[in-house]
Amino acid sequence: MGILIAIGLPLLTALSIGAFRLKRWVFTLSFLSALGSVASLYTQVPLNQVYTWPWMPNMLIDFSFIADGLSLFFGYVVSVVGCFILFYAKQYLPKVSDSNPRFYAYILLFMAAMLGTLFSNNIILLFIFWELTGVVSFLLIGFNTNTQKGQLGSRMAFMVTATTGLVMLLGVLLLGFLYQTFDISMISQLPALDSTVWTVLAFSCILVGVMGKSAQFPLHFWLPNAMAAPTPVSAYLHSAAMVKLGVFLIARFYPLLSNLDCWYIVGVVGLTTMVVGAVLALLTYDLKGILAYTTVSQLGYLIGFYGLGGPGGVEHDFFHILNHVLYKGSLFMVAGIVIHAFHTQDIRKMGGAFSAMPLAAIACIISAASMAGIPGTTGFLSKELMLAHMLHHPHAPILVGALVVSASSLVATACRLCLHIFSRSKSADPVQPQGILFQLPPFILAIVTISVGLFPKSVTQWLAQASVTGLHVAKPHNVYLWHGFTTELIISLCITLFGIVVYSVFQTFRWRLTLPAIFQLDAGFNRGVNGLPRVSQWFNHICRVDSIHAHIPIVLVSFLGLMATLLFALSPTLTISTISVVYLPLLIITGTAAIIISMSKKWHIKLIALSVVGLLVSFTFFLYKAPDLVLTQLLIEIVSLVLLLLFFKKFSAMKRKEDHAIHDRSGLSFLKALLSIGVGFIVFMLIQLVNSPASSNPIGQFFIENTIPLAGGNNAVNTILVDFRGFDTMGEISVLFIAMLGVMGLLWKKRS
Amino acid sequence: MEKTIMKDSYILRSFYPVVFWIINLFALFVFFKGHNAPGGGFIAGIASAISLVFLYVIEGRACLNRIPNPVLLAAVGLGLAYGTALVPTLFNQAFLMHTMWHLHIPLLGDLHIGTPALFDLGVYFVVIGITVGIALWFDEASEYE
Repeated sequence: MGILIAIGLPLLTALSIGAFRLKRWVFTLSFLSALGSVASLYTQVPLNQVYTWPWMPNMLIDFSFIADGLSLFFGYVVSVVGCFILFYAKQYLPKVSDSNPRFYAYILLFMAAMLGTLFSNNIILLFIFWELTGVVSFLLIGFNTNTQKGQLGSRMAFMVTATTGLVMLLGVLLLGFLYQTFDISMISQLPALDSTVWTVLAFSCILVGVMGKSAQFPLHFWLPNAMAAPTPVSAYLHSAAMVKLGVFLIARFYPLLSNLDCWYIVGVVGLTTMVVGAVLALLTYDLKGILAYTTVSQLGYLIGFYGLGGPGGVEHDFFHILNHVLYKGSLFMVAGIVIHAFHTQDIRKMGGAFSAMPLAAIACIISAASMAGIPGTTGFLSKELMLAHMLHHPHAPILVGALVVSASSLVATACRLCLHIFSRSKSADPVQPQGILFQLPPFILAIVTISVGLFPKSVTQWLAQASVTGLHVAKPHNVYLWHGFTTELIISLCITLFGIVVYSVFQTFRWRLTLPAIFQLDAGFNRGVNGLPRVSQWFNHICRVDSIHAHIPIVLVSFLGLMATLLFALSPTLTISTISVVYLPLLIITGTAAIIISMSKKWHIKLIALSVVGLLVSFTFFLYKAPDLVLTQLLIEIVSLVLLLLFFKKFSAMKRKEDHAIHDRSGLSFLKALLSIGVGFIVFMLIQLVNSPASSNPIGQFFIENTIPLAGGNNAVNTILVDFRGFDTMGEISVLFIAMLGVMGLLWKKRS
Repeated sequence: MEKTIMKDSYILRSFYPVVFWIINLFALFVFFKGHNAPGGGFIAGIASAISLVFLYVIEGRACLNRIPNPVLLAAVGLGLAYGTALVPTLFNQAFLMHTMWHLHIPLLGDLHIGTPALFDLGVYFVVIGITVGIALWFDEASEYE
């Protein structure tokens, strides 16, 4: 039950903060709720226990949750970091603000959505929570709604993650259809998939979802733009939580999909992103932007690690993830403190901040060292393990080369972060000192980084308990701080040296290089989004919606084309029915009235002729013994007459003359007449087609026979409307309602 | 003096209250006959809408205070129809499953009432709201040309 409480507690707290509009004690409540979430994860005893409540059993969709090692590990990361973030946000946010409760509620909602994604045992449920994290991240990134940066950033993040999420839905649906189940615990016991067209397609779709969510190249551009969010949000969503979902999903599907021939693409995507992100981090001067690009790089590192795979599974993947969460969370929090102190995000304007924030400075140095992979930190161990793993791979030279490039860029970035913020003093203004409580969360994370880095054995053993069959190797190697003089250590040393060289090279160029235009994909994305209205304008232009005289022929010609094709395809079943001579006078009068409508130049004559047609049509219904239709048609005639009178009363005489002028152009009239005759003919033929004995399906008989036993009414027409086909009626009245709102929007003019 | 669409007609103005009730009685009659004979919510709705549109034609905007807001009316109708459709799902029945009660009441004879009438009432309201609303807005819009 622990996992259910862990999901439900933050969710309920968030909803009640919103529902009761709580103003006071919101932080305490949120913090306790997050702590409760961690505690209830701790009490989750039976692993691999499945909790299921039926939701849509026919469609194999249930509320089903599972706690296995993978989801529990990620669950701990999300909830524990969530506690840190809440504590940090309390210091970060303004002391008194009306929007603070909203912030805490969003964070808790996000936490619940994250935990829901992790513990879902049904792929469709997982997808729902997955998209929910996207929605909440949209709200959080755009939390400062009044800035254009926030609006654009949240729009971009949401569009990228939601669109790729839909592609992922396609993939998981394919998987579900292949296996006839959406149950993850059942799927994971099935044998791994072979490469067929469908499995490769499913794999590609899921990979696109992962690339969007985890900001993989070339979809990485939303992450730096999402840095418009308040810093606690960046620290949480963009280092520990949301962007890790892609990594989680890759790990989730690893047992199933890693046998595919194309699995290596995951590695290619990940390692490319690793290099691109690390290099781009050198080319930006926005403090949070630098961290965002290093995050992109590190996410590529993690996904690439899964992409490389290994015989019998991977090992120490949780250690790599933990390493990144620790140092990146800490660095983001330090960035928030620094930005608070300097009131700017531009790293070129910072310097000499050590004395104002000693704890944060120490945290930053430790975390940056971890990012650079200096011995004594978790980053060092992670890099050593990765190098050892790569050296055993057939393509070792390429892999190690990519790692060297990205890691030495990260070393340079780490040097830049520590030296430029804390050591040299540039600004004349004294740096604003920051409170101890504010600096505490990143400091604690840094302490954990260094203590795990020095004594890794206990943690790795604890992580090994959470191993998942199929994903992890049965017996992982132990991790030691000192492996002896190995190849890895030598490469590591080279990386550090290279990094320092890169730093000094950039230092001499004064970091003037900026992002090349070809990598500014975000600008292209925004141009594309802003260009969409132009596409629809162009389409409107082609369809001539500006002029009704040009638009209606276009619509009618398309209709004629479609229907003529249909008729032609079904023509073998067509039989023309005959009618009795009795109807002939009726038809002649109706036809004459219709011709009068189109020929007459006086509007009141047109109106009378129109009513004559309507009444004669209802008389025809009467002859065919359809009293319901007669009644309806009569009333409709009355309503339309009244409405038309209302319009005509308003039209000025001049306007009517203009209309006639268009009418009188003989060529145009001929075309219109041709179109009208065409439409009449096609509709006549369609009715004949429907009534042809070969194609008509006498479903009416069923309704007439069952109207009393099933619907309890004698009038089958009405029982069809409200009962047998009630769903159609509901759709119709909904469409009517929408049409009414449309008319209202078009006609409603503001009275000034 | 409120602006009306027609010139003030004494005869129409005096007769209309009677005509109004006759039309709406007809609508009521058609509405309840619907299940067993020609009629139903849609037809009744158009009839009632005609009575209201005529009221607007005769009285002008002055009548707007006395008739319900068309958008609200249509929304209530839509809500009623969807509500009737949804309630059976609470009792483990299919969406839109209707229930009929057949009662035998002394002196009055057999009475059949059921949820289809409620659904039809929703249709009735939607049709009135839409017809009246569109007529109103067209008139207002053309006035400000």
